[in-house]
Amino acid sequence: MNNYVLTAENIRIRYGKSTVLNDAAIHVERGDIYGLVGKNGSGKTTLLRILTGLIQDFSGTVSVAKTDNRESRFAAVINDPSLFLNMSAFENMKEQAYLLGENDNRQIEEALKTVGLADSDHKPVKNFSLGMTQRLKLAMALLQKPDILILDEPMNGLDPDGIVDLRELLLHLNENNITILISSHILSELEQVATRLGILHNGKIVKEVSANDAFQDGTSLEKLYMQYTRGGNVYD
Amino acid sequence: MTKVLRSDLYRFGKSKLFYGIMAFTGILALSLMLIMRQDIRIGISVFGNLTAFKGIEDILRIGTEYQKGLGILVAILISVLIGQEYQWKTWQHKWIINKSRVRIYLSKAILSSAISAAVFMLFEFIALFSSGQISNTLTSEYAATIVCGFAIYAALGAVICLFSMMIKNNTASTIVSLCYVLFSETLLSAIRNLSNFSASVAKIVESGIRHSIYGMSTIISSTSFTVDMTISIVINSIAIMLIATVFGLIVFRKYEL
Repeated sequence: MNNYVLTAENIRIRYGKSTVLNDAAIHVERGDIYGLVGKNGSGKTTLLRILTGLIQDFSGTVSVAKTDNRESRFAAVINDPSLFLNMSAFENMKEQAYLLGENDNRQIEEALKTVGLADSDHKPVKNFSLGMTQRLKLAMALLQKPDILILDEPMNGLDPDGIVDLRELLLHLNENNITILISSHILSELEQVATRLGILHNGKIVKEVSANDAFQDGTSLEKLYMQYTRGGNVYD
Repeated sequence: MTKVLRSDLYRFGKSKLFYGIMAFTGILALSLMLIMRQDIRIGISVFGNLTAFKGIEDILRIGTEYQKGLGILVAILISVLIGQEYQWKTWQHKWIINKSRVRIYLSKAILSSAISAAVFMLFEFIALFSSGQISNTLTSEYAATIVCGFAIYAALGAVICLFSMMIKNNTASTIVSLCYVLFSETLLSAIRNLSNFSASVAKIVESGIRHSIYGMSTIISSTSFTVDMTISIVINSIAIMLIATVFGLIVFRKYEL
């Protein structure tokens, strides 16, 4: 019996004449850190938006397994502002807390502390750096106590310290039973955190493989990626 | 539903624009009334009609005629507050947290109607209380005007909410909402003129105009308004609110957020 917590099959979507996803399928197991890789415009964000329900006009099926006999909770950091720039980090979190029916400010403070924004909680978000906004979005996602966390290019705009912090945070969250689906261009980073990998090419997931199987003979993610997107010729 | 509403209410409460427009409304009502009480008559003559206020009822009427000022403030406030959600793509949180689009839309429609009606009530109450003639002004006819004005502004809020939810661009939705407020009189006059080719069409158009937000606003600010009209105007306003909300819901459900 499989242990998939999130699956999508035969996903097709077109924008005008262009087919963005063509029979794409993804299988995320419970406890995975699933790294989704693909070149710019390959449809990674579209696939993640479909999985989170932000896009509804597509064909195919998306299934989410239950967690502890209840609906699995989703949280996502999609690569849009998705923050009220005129409000502070704390106010953005508070607005989100109201949506969740939470009134306890301690949870907000804890989430901000987890992502390292405790000192900037009353600063307007419009003055935040890209890295700080990414961290705030992650804090907002954590407020939802998710079972599945979907992250679209979370390392974009982060400085080296930020990338290391994020990597540690993802590993920590994963240890706490959060399944993570992450898309990124930074292959070396994905290689360090992912337990499973999916390569998206020409609108399809052309390879899904566990990190253990992929890297056992010393193959790098870059080599694996090139193999499935350039027919094995790394220097194509 | 209450969670989405509380969340939206919290955000609106954090908006400087909201407080700015509320403050401007209050100051406007107070200033106009103080000028009137000082017997200062400011105005121009347009084709022989003096625009200067002749009495406090002229100032109170400014509130009921949304197209002459307050409607502009309402249009800017609602379209900016809703437009920011498209601009910053903040719908995503609500949707991912499993809030249905029906709830998201209804929350916006309820708050838009409430804000619109609140702007009107604020203007009227400040004007009334600063007039120094509360007992003379507070007639059953004035109370009926307030009830009708409240309903009309709530309907106006629902219609502006519809425009703001349908048009994803913040600036475009503000422009469309402002055009609706400023040019509805001109547009309806043009439609009235065009319908004159047939008596039956003209009759239908005339009835439509009378039951529009603009038509009702004209009726309650005219001398022909009577208390008996209150119920029909309130029902008519509720019908406009419902139609605008149902139409908006149908379209919004299909939107990519």
